[in-house]
Amino acid sequence: MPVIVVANPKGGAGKSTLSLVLGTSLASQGASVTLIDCDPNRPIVDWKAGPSRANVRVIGDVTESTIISVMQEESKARQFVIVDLEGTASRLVSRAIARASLVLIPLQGSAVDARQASRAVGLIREEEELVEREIPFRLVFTRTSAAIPTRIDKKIIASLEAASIPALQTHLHERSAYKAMFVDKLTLDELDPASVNGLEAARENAMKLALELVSVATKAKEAA
Amino acid sequence: MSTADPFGFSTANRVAAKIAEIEPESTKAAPASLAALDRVAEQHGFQSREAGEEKIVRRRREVGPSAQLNVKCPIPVYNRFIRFCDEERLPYWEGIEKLLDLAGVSQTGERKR
Repeated sequence: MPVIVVANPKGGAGKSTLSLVLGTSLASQGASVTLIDCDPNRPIVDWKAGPSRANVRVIGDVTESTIISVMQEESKARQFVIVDLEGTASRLVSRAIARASLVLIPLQGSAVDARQASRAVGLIREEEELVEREIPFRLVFTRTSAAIPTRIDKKIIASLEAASIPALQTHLHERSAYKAMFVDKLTLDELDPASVNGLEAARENAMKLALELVSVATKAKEAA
Repeated sequence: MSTADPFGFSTANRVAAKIAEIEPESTKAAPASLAALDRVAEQHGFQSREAGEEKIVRRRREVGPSAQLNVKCPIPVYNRFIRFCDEERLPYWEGIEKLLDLAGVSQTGERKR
């Protein structure tokens, strides 16, 4: 299941960070990865212009009329296609979701993020009827504390569980290493542990997230 | 990721093993038409944000010679006419044309009765 679409109509939910962390982590383990950057700020296109030697292909300049054919074309040759969408409710977002094999909806522990995430879930559910297939999706908590979940986090997690909304067990923690990736335009492997705090913990977090993602994507049962 | 792992117990190694099983595949081609999909998206507030698509072309303007028509009329009639054109969103000349049409006056000036 190689086409993963990262969507939340709310800006700043962690879409680009999640896309880049997953894409580079999978590539570091030998996967062929294409990242499609649909964010108007082009953070991943910008990242690719840096010194990183990561084996990821980055495509920018995608419009609502080309998104589907680009996804289709890339998925023929690459093991993973990750689409980083714009933080708005747009036609491009809806079209990308319709062709996804898995939708990841990142959200921070805030009411605004959760509400916008539920908007994306609502759209996915209605699109499922239209395309006559299941569009699997998972919520992903981002920027959570690695040490202790806040009360707000717990409250949102509980409300998701009550509504049977599936979420990844692994969170993308708040780590300065993830910000450093964008600043230095490198992968977690390439960053210098001497200049980035908690780099090893970030690498482990990213790998755990990648493992859960691959497990979900292949629907393989992951032995704990 | 970069640490030595000769026995393959690390998370990274498990990721690598799983990746090896994955083969590229085409995205699911959806049977739904794009138009139907876009309609559903719009109901959820997911609208096109790109310029140049589905622009509504303004209705055709009259071409050919034109003439000026100045009319002095009582204020109440004036107000009625302006309000009518405002509500119908018509330029004045199209407002007059519409009233003529409603009165059954043909292009050649004959009246249908």
